Amino acid sequence: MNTLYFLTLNGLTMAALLFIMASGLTLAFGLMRVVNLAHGAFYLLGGYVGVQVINDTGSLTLGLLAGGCIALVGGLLMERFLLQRVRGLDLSEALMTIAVGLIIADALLVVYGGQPVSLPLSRELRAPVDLGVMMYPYFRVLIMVFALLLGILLWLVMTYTRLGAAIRAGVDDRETAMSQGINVPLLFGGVFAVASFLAGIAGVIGTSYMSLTQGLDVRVLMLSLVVIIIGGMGSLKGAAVGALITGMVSSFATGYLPQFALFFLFLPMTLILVFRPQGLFGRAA
Amino acid sequence: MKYTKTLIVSSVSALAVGAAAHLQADDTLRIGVIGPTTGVFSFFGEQQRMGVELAQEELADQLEALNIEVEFYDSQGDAETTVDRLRAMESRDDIDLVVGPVLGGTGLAGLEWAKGSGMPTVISYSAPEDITMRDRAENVVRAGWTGAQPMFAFGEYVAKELGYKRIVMVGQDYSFPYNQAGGFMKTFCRAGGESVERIWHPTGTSDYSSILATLPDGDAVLYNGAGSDGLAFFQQYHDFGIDARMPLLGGSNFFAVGNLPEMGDQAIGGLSALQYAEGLESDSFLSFRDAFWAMHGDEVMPLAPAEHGYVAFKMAVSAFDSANGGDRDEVIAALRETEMPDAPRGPFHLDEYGNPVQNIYINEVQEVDGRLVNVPIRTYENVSQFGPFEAEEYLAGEPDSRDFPPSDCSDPYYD
Repeated sequence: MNTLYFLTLNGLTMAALLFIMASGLTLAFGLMRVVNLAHGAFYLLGGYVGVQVINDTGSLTLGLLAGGCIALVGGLLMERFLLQRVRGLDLSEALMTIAVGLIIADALLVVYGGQPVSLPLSRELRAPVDLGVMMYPYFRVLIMVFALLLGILLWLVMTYTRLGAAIRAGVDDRETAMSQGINVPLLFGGVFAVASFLAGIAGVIGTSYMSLTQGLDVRVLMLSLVVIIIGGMGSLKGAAVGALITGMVSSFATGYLPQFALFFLFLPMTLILVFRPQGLFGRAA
Repeated sequence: MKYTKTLIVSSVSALAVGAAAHLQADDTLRIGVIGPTTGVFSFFGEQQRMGVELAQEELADQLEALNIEVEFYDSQGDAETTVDRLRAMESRDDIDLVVGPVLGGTGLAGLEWAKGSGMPTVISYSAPEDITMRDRAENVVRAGWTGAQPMFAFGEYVAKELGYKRIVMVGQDYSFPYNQAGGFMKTFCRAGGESVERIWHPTGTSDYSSILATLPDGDAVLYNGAGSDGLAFFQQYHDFGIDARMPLLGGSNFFAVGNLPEMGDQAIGGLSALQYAEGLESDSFLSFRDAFWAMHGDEVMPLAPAEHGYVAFKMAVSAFDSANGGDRDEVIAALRETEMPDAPRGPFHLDEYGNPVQNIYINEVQEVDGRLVNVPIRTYENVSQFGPFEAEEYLAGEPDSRDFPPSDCSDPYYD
């Protein structure tokens, strides 16, 4: 029975991290139909910079902010100076984001080298806390709480604010929204920046238990894509459900059949693509 | 078609004759050193480079007398790039001997190339056992090790000295860890062990929490891997407090190659086995380490890839010395006769297959002068790549794989 709780909590932790990554990615896609394939590189960028700041200052909060902010700056620059020039050209946009991702990852390799990096966390954060069903490391609980709060915040913003309404309008029908006076390009810039910020923060958070290394950017990006394909591109609810499914499947598969973990990870996505290509909560194009 | 082939063959041989004539006209001897000095694995290549540079400085007079020049090449850790560089060494740069490659895959690629070219080659850190076993070539020797070699000693140590009966092994799913597992199990099972349960995960796994959740019970866990996977596993193993239930042992690269500073104090007491230890106290090691620090600064610890590069280069120079110049066959013969009574890692000589017969150290992570180092607590002398087995018997057996040897020690295989 204990194992079951253990696997469930592991799945929830992973789902939390994936949700932080995927929520921004899916909204940016919904608005502009741009799949940002540099999203994983922003994870790496935020992670390396955040860990360095934590090592230098000893402050976790500063590190999280630094990781998020550097990715935010990166995302803004990329959106303003590169993506806007190829707006509307699907292939060019995708290639552009791949190129930026590769450049960031390679630059990080030059600056930080190829050796894996871990995040120094205080003993209190690593210590296990009693969750009623079992003991579980405190920081992992915090990751879940953070993702939950983020989810609620995003949901409130999307549901109850003018900003959220504008984003939803842009996602549903870009042209009509623009004709109603909503500045979709500006909105998109904002969403893109927030998405990058979240990827950067996810980089720092993820490094608390996954060592940060070259190549992780691609794996994280892949998982985020799996999440938003399952959930439906552009849907916040979809990102949450997709993250839960992916996290749980991955946790249980790794626990019981580690050699087939990747197979089971991509199985739900394949099924969704075959039977419901728009995703669980996506709208048919 | 046939004509084309003949044309190619004849022009290639014409080129070869030309190259040979060119070599004879030039009495400079050139050693090409190849390793990944950029890219993800640059740590290994940089260590080798620093080791070779130290050897160069120490042998400066001899290099001048023999008219030896040294060129460094970057493999980028990639097999194809390695072969490109090796071709360039031979056809463009008149290299007479190769030191390297460093990594497993590049080592096998280098071996294939060396077989065709006949170039005297001293493989440094690259550890696939078949380089000096089933695929061995006369002109290729090794300054380092095979994956199973240190694990022969470790398996015996864990069974006899630690008294562990049941080991749970979690490892990266590719050939090097299979080989490490094979070496370990072949001696562990014969020294009183009962079982080794293997759990293989895809290389590049970053979340081990669920593997840890379903970890079977045993007397100890052995993580059979390294790099970022090893670091993540180590971190999560301690996060979930499994270290209180079962001690964590390491494969040869787990504590040995560069992750210790990231692992921190929790690594103290960690056991693994290798033919090298940066906590050695012998005179030959201390003078090597001090000279290395004097040259490269003491924030860089010379680890096994550095020592192997250093030693490989010395093997090359002494082969040129005793062969009196550049005659290829004599150089190869001299290489195969290598004896290193005062290598930093300890004395070794090559077996008839070209792999060192050397000390294997059981290392414990300890804090020495404010830094974490692998300190040898037990030495197994004269361990060959075949461990306690006869070479012919070993070569006739099945190569190690994902599920060979059998995990149950009572299997008739172990009789």
